[in-house]
Amino acid sequence: MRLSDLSAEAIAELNLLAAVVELDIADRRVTNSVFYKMIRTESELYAMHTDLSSATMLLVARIAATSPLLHTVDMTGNNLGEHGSETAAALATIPMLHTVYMVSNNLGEHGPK
Amino acid sequence: MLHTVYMSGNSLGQHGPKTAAALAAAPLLHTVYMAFNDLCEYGPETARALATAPLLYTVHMNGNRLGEHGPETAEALATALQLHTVNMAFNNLGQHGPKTAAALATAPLLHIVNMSDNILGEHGPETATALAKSHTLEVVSLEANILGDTYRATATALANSRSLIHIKGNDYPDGFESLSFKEITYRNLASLARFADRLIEIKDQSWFNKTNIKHLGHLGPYTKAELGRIIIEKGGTIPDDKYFADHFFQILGVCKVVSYHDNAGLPKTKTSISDLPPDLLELIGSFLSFEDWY
Repeated sequence: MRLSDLSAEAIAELNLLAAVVELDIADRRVTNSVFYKMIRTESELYAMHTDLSSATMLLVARIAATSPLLHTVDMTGNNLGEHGSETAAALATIPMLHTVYMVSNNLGEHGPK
Repeated sequence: MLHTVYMSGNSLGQHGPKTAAALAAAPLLHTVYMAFNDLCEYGPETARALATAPLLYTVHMNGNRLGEHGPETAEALATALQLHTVNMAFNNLGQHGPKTAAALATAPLLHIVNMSDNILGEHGPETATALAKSHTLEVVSLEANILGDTYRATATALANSRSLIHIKGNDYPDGFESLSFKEITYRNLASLARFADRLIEIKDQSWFNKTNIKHLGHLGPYTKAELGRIIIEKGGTIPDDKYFADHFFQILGVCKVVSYHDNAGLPKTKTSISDLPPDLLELIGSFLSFEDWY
């Protein structure tokens, strides 16, 4: 699926959830979200060049990490920078993941982590 | 599970080596894109780290301003025993092209090298000679290298390769692509015959996977025609799988996809075998149903 295919309401939902401090990914607000329900059956997630905040992108990665079928994630061009490592750590827990795009994310010194 | 990572365009610079080491820790890693990361003098260390990945197959290190560090970077990459494809394009190699090429050519399973856009200039022939020493290299791209007068010497050096089947390069005024295919392909008939032998002898039909079929598709028109002729002449067989046979024959240029309109006036396409020699028709008939062909 493409993140850009989500409705404005679904994106707003993600932004709101991303603002909740220490949100448990098993929280009912997350499991009832549109994105959570959609990603359950997807094998690929394309989230390139979004204008979402890195906090939202991190939440996207954490929710995506619960997807049992996901094998490809593209997070190109999201200026993750210092949040790249947290995002990568979340992605790394995806059991079936085999292909990751982290192109053009201004990672620099955060690349190793 | 992780096997492919795209990390291009992240200004990694001095952090390249550690990033590469972290990636190489993934036991199944085989494909890494580290293009446009300003690696420069950190190229060799980054390559050494990547080469520790036991299954490393494809590395893209294009656009990293490697320059004088090209040879050392290539040397490190070549220690990866499974290395198949290396992209070193746009690295300002220039006079360091030959040594970089020589180092790459030592990789035991190297099949594809892209050294385009490296201002090789007068160093083109020496670079090509070094690449031609590889016994496994099948595809080389030397596009946009300001070869000028050295174009012909470069092309000839590549044509002496024992294994090369496709050469890309188009910075000659007449078009390297068209000219070189006519000249190099025919100078390279011995290689082509060996390749045809391989196609014929391979018992394991899994060789005819999508990737390899795609590689065949990269062959130039003269090469395709010649390859098809040699295979038929040698009495070769083609896998009895319609999908691959379909593509295979399209690639060989003995059939084509034709457009037509169905009864409802909608545009459709289907494969058409035309002007086939009787022996080939017989060969196809031995394993294909003609229902879908006309």
